[in-house]
Amino acid sequence: MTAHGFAHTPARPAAIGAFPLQGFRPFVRKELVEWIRSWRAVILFGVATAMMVLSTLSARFAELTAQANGVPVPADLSLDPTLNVIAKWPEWLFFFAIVFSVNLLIVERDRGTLAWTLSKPISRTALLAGKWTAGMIAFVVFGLILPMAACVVAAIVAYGMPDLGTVAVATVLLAATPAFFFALTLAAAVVLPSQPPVAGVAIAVAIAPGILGTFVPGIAEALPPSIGPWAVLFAVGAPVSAVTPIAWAVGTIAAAVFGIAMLRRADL
Amino acid sequence: MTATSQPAIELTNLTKRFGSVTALDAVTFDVPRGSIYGFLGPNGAGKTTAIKILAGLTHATSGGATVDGIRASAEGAHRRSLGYLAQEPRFYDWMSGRETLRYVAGFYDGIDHPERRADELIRLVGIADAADRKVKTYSGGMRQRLGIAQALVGRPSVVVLDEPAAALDPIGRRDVLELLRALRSEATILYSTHILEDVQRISDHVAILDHGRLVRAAATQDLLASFSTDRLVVVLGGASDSTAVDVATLPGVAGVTIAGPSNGGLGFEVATRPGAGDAAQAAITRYAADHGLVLISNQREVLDLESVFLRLVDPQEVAA
Repeated sequence: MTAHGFAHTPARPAAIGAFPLQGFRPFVRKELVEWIRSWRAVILFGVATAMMVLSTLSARFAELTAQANGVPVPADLSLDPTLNVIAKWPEWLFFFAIVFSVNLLIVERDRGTLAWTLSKPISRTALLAGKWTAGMIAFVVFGLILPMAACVVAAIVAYGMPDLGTVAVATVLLAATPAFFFALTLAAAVVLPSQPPVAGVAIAVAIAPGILGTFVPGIAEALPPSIGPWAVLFAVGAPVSAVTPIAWAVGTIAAAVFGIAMLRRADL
Repeated sequence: MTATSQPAIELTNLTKRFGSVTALDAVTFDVPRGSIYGFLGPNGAGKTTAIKILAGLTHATSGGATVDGIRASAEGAHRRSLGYLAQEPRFYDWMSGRETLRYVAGFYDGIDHPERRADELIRLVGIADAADRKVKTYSGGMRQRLGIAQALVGRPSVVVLDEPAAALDPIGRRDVLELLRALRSEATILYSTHILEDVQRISDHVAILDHGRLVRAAATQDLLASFSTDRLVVVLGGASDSTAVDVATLPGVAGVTIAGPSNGGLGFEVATRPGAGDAAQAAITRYAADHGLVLISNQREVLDLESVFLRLVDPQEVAA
């Protein structure tokens, strides 16, 4: 270590006051690089593509299996290319979103880098917003758009050309599912001590529409996780409830506000 | 208050409680601009808690702190003026040292050339050979050096370091002290440490905490002077053991102990009566002249910082 010739003159006078997203950009940049360099993005792409391409092809497999066994093809089996591309996404998307978001904040806290980053000129709001934004960008690209493109290719081979407009609308709307679950797991991670309880909360919320819907008719469409099926129905032009997107927006914003408020109060 | 007269750091009735435990109890002191300020205390005294509040990582229960006139808070406006090194610095293991510094530079508006700034700091802290290696391969000492570099990236006007030399070997420790000295003209430095010798060597001010309470905050020399004792260190050339008997009878002298040969003479530890130190010194000077002895030394004993620290915080010393 040598101090000779070292210039340290403070760069500028201190600015008074912080804006809420101070430090957002460099943090998002770091997060995106981490998604790539930790192989998280590649693993997400591989898992999502494998699962969803198989789901896309499942109707054709069912048809071929029935023919091979000499039994009639099930009457409700649809070989519509567009439906086979998009219909199974709501069943899996929440699962991918939970798995790939549950450790985002917990790991930072456990390894001490959360406190280290927050010792720089970055607000806690910006840190949480940056986690969500980078996570969404990476997830939508590697867990939704690219696997969806692979599903389209698989559908072309197996069934014929899908309606790309419908697929595009569904892709955009399906992004609402990770948007909600990323906000939920980040908020839960602020107040819960480790990954298992965070995952537990997220899974409980994800399956709530299915369970509560059996007891309270109509409640399912008023719960944020129903946004996945809603997105597919909307994309294919089926009648949909106006309550679901409102519930999704309220749920996502509430999770974000709760997470930010709790992180701002936390001692690190 | 002008920008230059305003303290670089102000702690005002800073209090932090963790449940029923009071980690900081109404701690109040100022860190003058341009000073190197040693922050001392035994383990658990509250130093790290106070430093974390300054960094905006922990909330005060009551009272507050400012850095460069800006209130320390979780939202972190004050951190544009603050460089901070944690007690156990943690970094992203997948980044190299150079990437770590570039990442930190991204948070500061005034860094026009982050790459150049990173290079400058890599050279400064002596990790050039390892700059492009992943941080997970770094030794504790290298992490500490990287930690010091990242604290300086934003050219902060205030630098707060929590035990910056803790993981360093003697060479690294010497280098850190040199660096702190070099920064003196550009930045205010508050640092905690257990190495009191270092503090005495480079700090112009010290604050001592114990059990969350501020025991003393003062200029280092003033603090040491306030602990000058009722003892004189006397060395007389040509003296013998019988000299001690004569000296013991001099005005103001309460007792004499022979310390042994010292600096070409015989050394004595002279206890003086309370408030009679000056009279005893004068009497010893006269005695030496009257008896043809060479007065090599006739000084009040001055405690070093370690002794002062122990007197202030060690229950046994306090009781004594």
